[in-house]
Amino acid sequence: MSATAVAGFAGARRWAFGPGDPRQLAALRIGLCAVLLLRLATRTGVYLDLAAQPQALYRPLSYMQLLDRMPSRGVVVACLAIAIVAATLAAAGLFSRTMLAIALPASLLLNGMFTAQGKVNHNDVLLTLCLIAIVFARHGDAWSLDAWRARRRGRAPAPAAGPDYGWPVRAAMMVVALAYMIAGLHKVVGSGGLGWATSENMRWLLYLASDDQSGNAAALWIADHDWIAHLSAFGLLATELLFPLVLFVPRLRWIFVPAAIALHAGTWVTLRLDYSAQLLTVVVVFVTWPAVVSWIAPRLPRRLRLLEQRP
Amino acid sequence: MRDAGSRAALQSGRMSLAPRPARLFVIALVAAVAVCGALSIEAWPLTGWRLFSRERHQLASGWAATSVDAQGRQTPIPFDSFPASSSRFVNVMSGFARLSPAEREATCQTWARLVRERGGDTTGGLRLYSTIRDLREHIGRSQPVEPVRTLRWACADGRGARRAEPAPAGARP
Repeated sequence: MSATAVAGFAGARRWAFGPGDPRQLAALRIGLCAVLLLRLATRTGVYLDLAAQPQALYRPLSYMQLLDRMPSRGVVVACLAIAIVAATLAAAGLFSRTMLAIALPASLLLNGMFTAQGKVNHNDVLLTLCLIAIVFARHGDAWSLDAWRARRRGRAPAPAAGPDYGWPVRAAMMVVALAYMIAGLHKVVGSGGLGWATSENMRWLLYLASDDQSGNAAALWIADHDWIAHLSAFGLLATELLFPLVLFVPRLRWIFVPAAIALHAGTWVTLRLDYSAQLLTVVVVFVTWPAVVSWIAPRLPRRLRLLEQRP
Repeated sequence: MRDAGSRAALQSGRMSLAPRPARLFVIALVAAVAVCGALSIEAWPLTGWRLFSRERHQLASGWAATSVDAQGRQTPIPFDSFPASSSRFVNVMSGFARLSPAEREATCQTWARLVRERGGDTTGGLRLYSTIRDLREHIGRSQPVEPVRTLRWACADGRGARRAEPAPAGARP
């Protein structure tokens, strides 16, 4: 192995497993649990509807194949209650490690139900994978009721940085970056090159989406303007393929995170596909929250400066 | 990418790494995401990330279904009005041919029941069509393109789903 490769490997190892700020990990806990809570609480009717699915239409994937039908309404109600309470407490940081360890499997059953309709459901995948990335970590050592209670008991606060706090954050970053890159690579492989963007693919896709929605003005407008359709396709493909650059050049987050937001917002407007969970996950994982808090805190009234305290 | 803590540790020459179990966990998670993605393995929440990866062409295929009343009149089945758990008609049709006869019959009966619950008439059973739309017809006009249908399956209430004989090409509904 060449010296450059060895140095590169050592650098990657230091980056992935080196120390991190407990507040950034805490921000992931708060943010991801808040997104999970939002998804569960705003779709309770959908989960209950899925529980009533006729058995003949049950088309499970993955671990849902262990069941021969959707979980019963009683099981779904219990899982919803457990997941919502546990996610709320995990976000607040009360018994946060236990609560997240409870909320995650409950949400796996609930969101797994969406995959039992014959099609992979990607909307909640990144949220789930990022929650898996942090579930075993010490995410309650900062910005949590657990940390507040520990301080009141006279225990020493968490250090400003430590090896226990970096790896979960970077694991989540790698998972997100990989997901975008793989989605982009499949488009390249599927079209034998850049055909996905250079051909009329985007126009046909948007015309089709518009017809499936009985008309969508935004989709039709883009499809009717050839160069805008091609620009959208190239922008989307570039965002996906090049997203991992944010791991190597942090400043590129200022480009790729807004680009990912635009991508998912555009998907909603034109295709009516809700990728809000993925969009919010990207924001939670890639924003440097301690820096945001450091910028905001001095501008807040004194009584509201709780998060400014370290950790 | 380094935060203040790791920068300080680097500068002082003492960089402690995450414990070994944590490192193994991260490697396993990232490897699982990469392998499932590269090989298109669907093991939710791990997935192949095939999002609109297939290049679309001007001819778009799809599925459509109608219910047939006692007089033989056909009415499009309003899957959008079905509960969300039962509205994924196209997803079901993508694997319909691979189902056993009993499973196909059960699927048709479920759809027929949902149609009747919404006031529809399924006396003559259901018809399941594959469709082709030429999207070039869309250029310069906003109205949806009318698909060309080909009958694939005929479901008669209680008498199973029968594979249709090949229909004349280009037959419009």
